[in-house]
Amino acid sequence: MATTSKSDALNTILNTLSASSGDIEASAVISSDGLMIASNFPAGLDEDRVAAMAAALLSMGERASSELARGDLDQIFVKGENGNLILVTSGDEGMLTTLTTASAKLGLVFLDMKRAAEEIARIM
Amino acid sequence: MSSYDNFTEMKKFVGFSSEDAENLKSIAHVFEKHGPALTDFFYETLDLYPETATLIEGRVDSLKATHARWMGELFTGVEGGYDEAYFNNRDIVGAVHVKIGLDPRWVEGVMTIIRTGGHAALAQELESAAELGEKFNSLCKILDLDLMVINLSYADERLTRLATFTGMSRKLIENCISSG
Repeated sequence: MATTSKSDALNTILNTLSASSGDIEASAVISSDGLMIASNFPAGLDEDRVAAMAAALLSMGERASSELARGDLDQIFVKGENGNLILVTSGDEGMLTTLTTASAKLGLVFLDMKRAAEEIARIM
Repeated sequence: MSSYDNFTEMKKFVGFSSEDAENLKSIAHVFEKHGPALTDFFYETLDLYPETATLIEGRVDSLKATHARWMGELFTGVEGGYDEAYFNNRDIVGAVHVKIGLDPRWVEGVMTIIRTGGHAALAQELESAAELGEKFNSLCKILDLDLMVINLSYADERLTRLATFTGMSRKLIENCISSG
């Protein structure tokens, strides 16, 4: 798949994900090295910084899960006063990140993210 | 760029030449004579500070032997020169310092002790101010090159340890640093 069509396909997945649930405010595909690949994050966010942070969180989570014999990492969930940050792995090289509202119905969000992450892994 | 490439680039940058290598060989005898006193002074100084005294406690004699070997190689090179074997030798010094938990500022401190003590030793043994200036310059160049390699190795070893602990790739850590 050419780079542009790959990028288009990833953006389509992210937009579909946001459209599927009003609880998902923004989402992004990030490489395991912390580089932003595709995103519909709000303007004004420092995407390089956010991507590096997300990748660092996921790496630390994987390491901690392994160290504490919890098996392969499924997700990282950060609950803040104004909403949640959720990270899931997507293949060996990437991850899907979403920002949700504080009152998000998490079961649905997790399900939508899992499906989207599988699609992203196939494209990447 | 690998660290060895950095080393060769810095050798060129500071103008370290075959003439410097010859100068260093020509003053080896000065440090055979005065080196042990410099080494003793260095370890006496380390013993004055709790942070470093703890690290050397009970093994001063073996550390002095290692230090004397390191200092001797300043004047002979490693495997007869100041190339990759020399670089690899100095690279290990940085990694060892991380392993024992010695902060790099102490390594910088020892360079000052060698530099100032070395100058005093050379001033005692060399007859002309011109020769002193020329040979001291060569000594300063090799000490600064050593310090650069040790510091780079130290930084590299710390990154490796952080990468191992966090599971983060080196590239991700570099991204975090540049985004910080």
